Amino acid sequence: MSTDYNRYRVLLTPLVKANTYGTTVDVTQDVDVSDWIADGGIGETNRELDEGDYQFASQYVFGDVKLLGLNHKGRWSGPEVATSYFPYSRDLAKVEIQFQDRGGTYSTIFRGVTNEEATRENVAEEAVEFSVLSLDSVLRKNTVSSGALTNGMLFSAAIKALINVPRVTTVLTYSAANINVDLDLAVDDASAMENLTTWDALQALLAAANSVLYVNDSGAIIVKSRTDNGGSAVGFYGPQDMFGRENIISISSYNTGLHRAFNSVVVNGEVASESDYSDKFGARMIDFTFGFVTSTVSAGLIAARMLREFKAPKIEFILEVSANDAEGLDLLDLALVDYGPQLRPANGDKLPVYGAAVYGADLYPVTIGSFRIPSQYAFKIIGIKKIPASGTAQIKLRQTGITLSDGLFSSATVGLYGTAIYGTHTYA
Amino acid sequence: MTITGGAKFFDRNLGLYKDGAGISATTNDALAKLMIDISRYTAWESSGSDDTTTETITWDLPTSRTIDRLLIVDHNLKQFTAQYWTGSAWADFSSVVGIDGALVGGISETAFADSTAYYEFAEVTTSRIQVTATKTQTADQEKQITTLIVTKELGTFSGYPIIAPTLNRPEVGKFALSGRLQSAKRGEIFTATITMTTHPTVADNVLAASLFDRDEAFLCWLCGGRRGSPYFQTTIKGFGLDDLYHVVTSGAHAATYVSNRYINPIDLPVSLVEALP
Repeated sequence: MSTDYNRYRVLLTPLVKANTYGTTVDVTQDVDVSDWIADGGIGETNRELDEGDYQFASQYVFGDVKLLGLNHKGRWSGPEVATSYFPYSRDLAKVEIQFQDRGGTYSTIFRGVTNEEATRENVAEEAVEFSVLSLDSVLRKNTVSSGALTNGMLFSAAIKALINVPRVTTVLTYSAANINVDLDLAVDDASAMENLTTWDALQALLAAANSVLYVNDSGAIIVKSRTDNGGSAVGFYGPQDMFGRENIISISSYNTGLHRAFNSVVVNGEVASESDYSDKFGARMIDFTFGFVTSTVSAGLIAARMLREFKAPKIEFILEVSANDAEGLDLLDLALVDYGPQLRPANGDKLPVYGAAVYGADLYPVTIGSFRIPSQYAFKIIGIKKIPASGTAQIKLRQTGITLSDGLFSSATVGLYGTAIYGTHTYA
Repeated sequence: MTITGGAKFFDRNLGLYKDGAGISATTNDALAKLMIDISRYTAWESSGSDDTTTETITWDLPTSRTIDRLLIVDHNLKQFTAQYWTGSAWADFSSVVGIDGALVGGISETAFADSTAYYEFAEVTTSRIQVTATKTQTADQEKQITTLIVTKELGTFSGYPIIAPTLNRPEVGKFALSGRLQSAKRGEIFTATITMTTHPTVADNVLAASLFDRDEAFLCWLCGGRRGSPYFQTTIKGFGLDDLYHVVTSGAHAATYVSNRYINPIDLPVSLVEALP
C-alpha cells in the first residue's frame, strides 16, 4: 500500500487564563483538512521580507490563514460550551499548521493566533470560520507606552524592549541573542514613538537599522541584516539537468531588480548618493523621515547604509516548486538555481562534451529555449508562500550582494556540454 | 536457463549520481558520472584506449543496496566483466543469466555483440560495483557506456497485454505573421498504455496493481531483454534493448471482471508516464 504522506495537521493551544496557555491539542480531525483543495480548508501561508515593489523596508509579511472548523460537536464554540476546545477564550489561541513530507516527518509551515473579532459562525453548516492571524498581529495589539523607550537607547535595545513583553513572548520565542541589527545607532527622541503601535515602531527602527525581522520555523523572532544565512545552498534545477535533479515547476516575475534599486537615499534631509549608479541607471531616489532620529550625523549614516544595501539592482524572481522541496527552507537561506536550455544531440546520438569533442567533426547540440539562470549566481530566499491547494510553494529569490559584480558563488561550475576547443582539437 | 517473460519492471536505478553515488573511471574520470545520470544523450567515453587497454570503472552506491539486476545500457563493449564488493574484496555474482542465457563464473563477456547488457543474478547486498572493459565491438575504439543501472526486479509480465508506447516531444511555439509556425520541440517524454483485456494471468494483474500502489518511480523495460527473431519482426521505439524509462503509473486503477462474473478474468488498463526517479 502507498505511504501516507503529503498531509496537513493542525495543532491548537488555547489560553487557560490571561497570558497562560494550556496543552496543545491535535485538532486535525475537527478541521476541514481531509479535502485540502476545498474552500474553507487551509489557505495559503506567506512569509516575505521587503514585500512590495518599488520600495524596501516594508518589512515582514506573514499572511493570515483561514481555517474552517467543523462544529457539530461544539468543539469550536466559545468557553461557555462544555465540549469546547477553549476553556478561557477563543481569542489568541495558538495555531500551528504542520505538513507531513514523503518521509513521514512533520514540519511547521505556519504559526498564528486566532482572532475572535474575525470569527464567524455558520449555523446552517455547523461550522466556524476562523481567521488565524499572522504572529505579527500580537505586535500590532500593543502600543509603545511612555517610558518603554528612552533617549540614548541603541536601536537594538529599543527593538528588544518592544519585543520582550509578556503578550509577545507567550506566543513567540524571544532570545536577545537573536536580535542583531546591521546599523546600531542611538535613539535621539524616544517620545516620537510613544503611542505608535509596537509594529509601526518596530518597522521604523528596523528600517533605520537596515535590518529585517522574521519568525523562523521554530517560532523564534529573528532580527538581522539582509545578509544571507550562509552555509550550504539549497539547489533548484531546471529541465536541462541531466542528473534528474529537476525540481523547478515554473519561474515567474523574473526581473533585474531595478524596481528595488535606489542610488540616492534621503533620510531626514540628509542625502547619500552614488553618481556612478545614477549615471548608469538614472536617478532613483527614496526618502525616509524618522522622528526618533534628530542627529544629522546619524541621519547621514542611516542614508549611507541604506544606499549601500540597495544601490545595485539585484535579480529577483519567483520559483514554483513542490511543497516537499520547500520544506525546511527559511528566509535568507542561500539558494543555487541552475536553469538553462535543454540540449539535444544534433546528430541524434550523443551530446558533444567539452574537452573531448572534435572541432570540425562533432556538431553543436540543438538548444531548446534561450532563458538561462547560471548556477554561479547566488540567491537568497526573501519570500516563501505555501499553497496547500496545489501542493506547491512559491519561493521568492533575490541575488545576494550589494554591488554590480558580487552575488556569485566562489567556485564556478564548468558546464560539460558545449563547444569543442578551438585550436586544440583537429579538423575533420 | 534463459530470461523469461515479457515486459519487465524494476525498482528505480539504485546508484544515481543525484542520490549521492560516486563513480570513477581509469580515463576521462570527470565524465564518469554521465553513466549514472538519467539522460540517454550523455555517455562516458575513455581516452586514448584500445583493445589492449583495460578501463576500470568503480561505482560507489549512495548506500549499501540489495540488488539482483545489473544493466549496462547503450555501450560498445565486447569484452568486459562486472563484480560487486563484499566489504573486503571484489566477488563474482552467482547464478547469472544474461540475455543470451546462463553465464558461468559471474558476469564475464568475451564476445558481447548487443548494445545493452542485462544480467539477473542471486541477490547481493553491496555498496560498490566494478566494471572492467578491455575490447570494443569494433576493434580498438574508445570504450563508451551511456548508462549503468543496478536495481531489483519488481516483476515481469508473463502474459502479453497490449502495450502501446508513445514518445512525445512537447512543442512550444507561436504562429508568426507569415502564418508559419515558429516552434521548438522539447526532449522526448515516454508514455505507455498497457491494456489487459480478458487477461488470463492473475500474476500480471497483481503486478499491475502493485505498480499502481508505488509512490516512487520505477524502471520499465518493455522488451524484457528480448530482441530480434523470434520475438520481434520489427523493433519499434520504446521496445528496443536500450529503451529503459523511469515511469510512474498515471490515473486510476480501474479493473473490472469480464461480463461482471467474478470467476472471469479481468480487464485492466494501466497508464505509464515518464517521471523523475
